[in-house]
Amino acid sequence: MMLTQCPWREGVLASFIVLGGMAIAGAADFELPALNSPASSEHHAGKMVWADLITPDLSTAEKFYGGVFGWTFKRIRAGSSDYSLAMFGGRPIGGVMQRTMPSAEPHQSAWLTFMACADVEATQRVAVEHGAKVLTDAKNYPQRGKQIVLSDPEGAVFAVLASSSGDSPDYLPVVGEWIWSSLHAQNAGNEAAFYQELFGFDVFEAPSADGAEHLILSSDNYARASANGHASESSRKHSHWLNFVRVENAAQTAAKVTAMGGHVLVRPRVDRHGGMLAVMSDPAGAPFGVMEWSESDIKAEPK
Amino acid sequence: MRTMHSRLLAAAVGAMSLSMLFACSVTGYGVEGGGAVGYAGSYEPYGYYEPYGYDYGGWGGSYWVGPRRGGEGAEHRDGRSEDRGERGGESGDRGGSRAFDHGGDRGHAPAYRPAPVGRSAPSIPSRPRER
Repeated sequence: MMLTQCPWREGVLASFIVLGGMAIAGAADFELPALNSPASSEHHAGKMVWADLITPDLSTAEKFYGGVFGWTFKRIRAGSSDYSLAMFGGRPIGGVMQRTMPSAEPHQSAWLTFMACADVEATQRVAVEHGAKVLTDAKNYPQRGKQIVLSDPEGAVFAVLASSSGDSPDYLPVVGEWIWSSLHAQNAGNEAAFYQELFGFDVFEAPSADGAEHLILSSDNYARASANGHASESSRKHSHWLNFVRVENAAQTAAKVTAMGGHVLVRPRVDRHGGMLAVMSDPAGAPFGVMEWSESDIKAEPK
Repeated sequence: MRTMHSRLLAAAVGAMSLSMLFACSVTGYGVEGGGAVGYAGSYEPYGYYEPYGYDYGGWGGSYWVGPRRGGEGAEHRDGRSEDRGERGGESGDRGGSRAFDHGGDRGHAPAYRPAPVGRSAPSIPSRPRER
């Protein structure tokens, strides 16, 4: 029987048109945006280029970070999860993913740090050779690029991303954008060596009087991150990455954080660069840092 | 009446077929091939939620984790003149960040390859974003 003679044909065609359109629209919802639009031809291995927050309450996180930093959010369907893009200045700067908190043992929400690499498979191979574990297999998102989630030899979780649109040029982040990342580890030297293998970092000792080891990791002649031994009295001994957002005034940000249900973990204090730095957590307990960076900071640099 | 019934049946069959096709074709965040778990679900088996621990105590006055100012960024390879304004005029080591001397003052060689002796640690980029 030919289709033209089939009494079903109108129904079939109609359903294909309607549902085909839905399929196309739905598939588009799953696409992550490019890191850079227009695309950049630059590549900066080891540069922190993205962060994903894993939280049990997406709406609370959106309200909190929107209120504290002025970020806006755009919801994306993410399979079984809800995912929201964090936007600032018209650019995507991170994501927030809602996941159910495991109930078996105490856990807390956290930001996952993404670092730039040129080749995910090569980075994975080197990482595993040097003691890393693969937490999720490499996965490709056409506009975003290929990424993989790993844990370093001490268990600090991080991700690497080979961006399809290159890496962001090296600009001074504006207030409200990520400006710095610090790794807190049992053995900062060993961890620095691991990340040096991955990204070719130059490693500089940054002595201080607190007895902990502090190292600056740089690439392309710019400081990208620090690796730090745990503070002596801290009971937070598991290794982790901590990301910092540039703020105008750390003390005012701390007050705002507290008012919006967050907590101040390290009160504003002068850091190496002469500006104020503080560590806080959002209402779900995810830690993040804030850092002042201005021309005038240098006048107050610690001795 | 029968024709109408056939059309409705066809529409239902078409809808089911396309739904199944759609479920198997979505990539990225979500379900692939109707079975494998994508980005969202793949965090959970590893319990990405970190072990509980709020305590950031012990950050004494000299526990510095941020970048420093000054350093070699001013001499960046592409010679951007705007970088020199912030860093070029400094003596270079205000925060004391220097390449670790091989075997240096900790009495043993570090696990990492230290930057060459005499180089000071660079700072973060200082060039403002182009509007």
